[in-house]
Amino acid sequence: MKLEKLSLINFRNYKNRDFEFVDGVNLITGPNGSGKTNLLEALYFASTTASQRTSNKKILIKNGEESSRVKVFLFGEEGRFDLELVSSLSGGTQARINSNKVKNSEILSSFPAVIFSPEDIEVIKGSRSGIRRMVNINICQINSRYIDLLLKYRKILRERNALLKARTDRGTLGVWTTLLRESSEEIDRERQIFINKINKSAEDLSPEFGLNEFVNVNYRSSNYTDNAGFRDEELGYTSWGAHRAGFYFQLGSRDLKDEGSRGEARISALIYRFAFRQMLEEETGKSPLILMDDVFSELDSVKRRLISEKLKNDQVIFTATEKPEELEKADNVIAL
Amino acid sequence: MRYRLPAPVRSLVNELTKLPSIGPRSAERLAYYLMKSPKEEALNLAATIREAKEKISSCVLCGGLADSEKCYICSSDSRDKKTLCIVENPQDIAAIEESGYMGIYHVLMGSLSPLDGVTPDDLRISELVERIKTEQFDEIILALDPNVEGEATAIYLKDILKSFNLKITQLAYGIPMGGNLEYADGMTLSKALEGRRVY
Ligand SMILES: Nc1ncnc2c1ncn2[C@@H]1O[C@H](COP(=O)(O)OP(=O)(O)OP(=O)(O)O)[C@@H](O)[C@H]1O
Ligand SMILES: [Mg+2]
Ligand SMILES: [Zn+2]
Repeated sequence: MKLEKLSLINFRNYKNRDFEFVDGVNLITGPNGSGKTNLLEALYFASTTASQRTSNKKILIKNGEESSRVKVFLFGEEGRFDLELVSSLSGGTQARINSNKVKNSEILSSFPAVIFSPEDIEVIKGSRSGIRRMVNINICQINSRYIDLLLKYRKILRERNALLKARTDRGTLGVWTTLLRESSEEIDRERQIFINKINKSAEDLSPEFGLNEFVNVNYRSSNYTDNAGFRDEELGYTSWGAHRAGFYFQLGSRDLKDEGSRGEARISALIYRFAFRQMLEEETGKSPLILMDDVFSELDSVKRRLISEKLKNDQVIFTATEKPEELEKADNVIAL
Repeated sequence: MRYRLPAPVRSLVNELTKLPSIGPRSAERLAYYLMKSPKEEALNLAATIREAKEKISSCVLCGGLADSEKCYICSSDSRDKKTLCIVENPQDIAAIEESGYMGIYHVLMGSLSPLDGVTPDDLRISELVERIKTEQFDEIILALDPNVEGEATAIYLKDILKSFNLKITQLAYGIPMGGNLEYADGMTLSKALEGRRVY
């Protein structure tokens, strides 16, 4: 699958603009604030229906506008097709493939992409919910069932919380607890399977990137206990379950959130994304588009060369304020 | 300035918005249509609604629509009165009838939903327990909607019914989760009935 063209209307700082891409290495250059990250964000959004840096979809729409359109033109095994997301301030996002309305989840399997972004460090060193969001999006990309599991879980959770909040009719609380536990455990299983595969790839990648310990992600589920049940009734909401579980990035057995340097977090993020790329390729049978946001500026030349080498057969879009040495031979340069 | 509809039309729009799947836009469109249509057409509609509403009531046994005390299914001699199918709404009966089912029904009038404020007291559960005590059923089939509220209601009912030592089965859904029973076609439902699981 290759990306040929991106067409943006009212997305972030873009009023109406088209970009063309080639197979191989594409480089977007431009000063700070010129819209490089926004462009990659648009592509990531078209791939996943989510942004890598925000869960607030409304700020993706250009200030002062009502709706945005992101359209990508792709070339895959099935031939040429286009994929379009129209979002409005009022009513969510409508996806279309070749102008036919499709469910948002169908987008995920049509246009796989992996993003490497400087914000990954903040995610890894940040809140539990930020990491959970990042991993959830990735699981959705490889597992078509997962989004339905999450939606079902959220529905049960909302019902159970409504019951707890009302503080009446405990006669049915057990029913909602049973349903939520089942649903939560199902999500735990999918997450654990995902993490196991990531960790396996990360074992090979860690030494390649000069680490003498393995980067790994540790999943800690949040399980129901009788005590948690009592606590819920006091609190008036659910205090356990898949929405409270945590993913912890580790180097060996050290937690990177509290104990890792920024450099270690950066390399770990890189390794996670490379591990995910490998998995995405294996599971979808398609070579994903690689989005590299300002990755070179923070790495030494050995790692830059390693990354270039690893991506030599992929379609990649790099961004940079200035052209890095390693990208002298870029096949296509777009200056913003 | 936004155009203001005359007061009677506004209250008509307001009433129409209360109907399921009618939003403000559709309500306005319907109201304009009715105002434009011949007088007898609109009055005929009003009279038909009134007549239907006055003649039709809930069957005292199953809770389905009936034009006398009992519906035609509950009054029929050719139905299998030992098999009881529990559904959420009267319209679900129509869907299951298409599958060729020959037993009888019990309508709960909804499903458990704390978000919508529906508790067990709002459902026809005490009526169900009463029927189980007086009518001698061999099998109870739970045919609730394949969504989380339907699932919750099924779990709740199984718990209540377990003391009666009945055979309780549940539809084996080929219908995607999140679905609605009334939108399943006859084929899917007869498959779901055939493959029902004993609980
Ligand atoms: N919803 C929006 N409407 C209009 N402009 C926006 C919107 N969201 C972001 N912007 C603008 O986009 C610009 C930032 O773009 P972006 O983050 O893509 O820059 P960049 O080229 O990646 O910069 P850097 O090199 O610093 O990473 C900012 O000037 C910001 O004000
Ligand atoms: Mg940027
Ligand atoms: Zn009846």
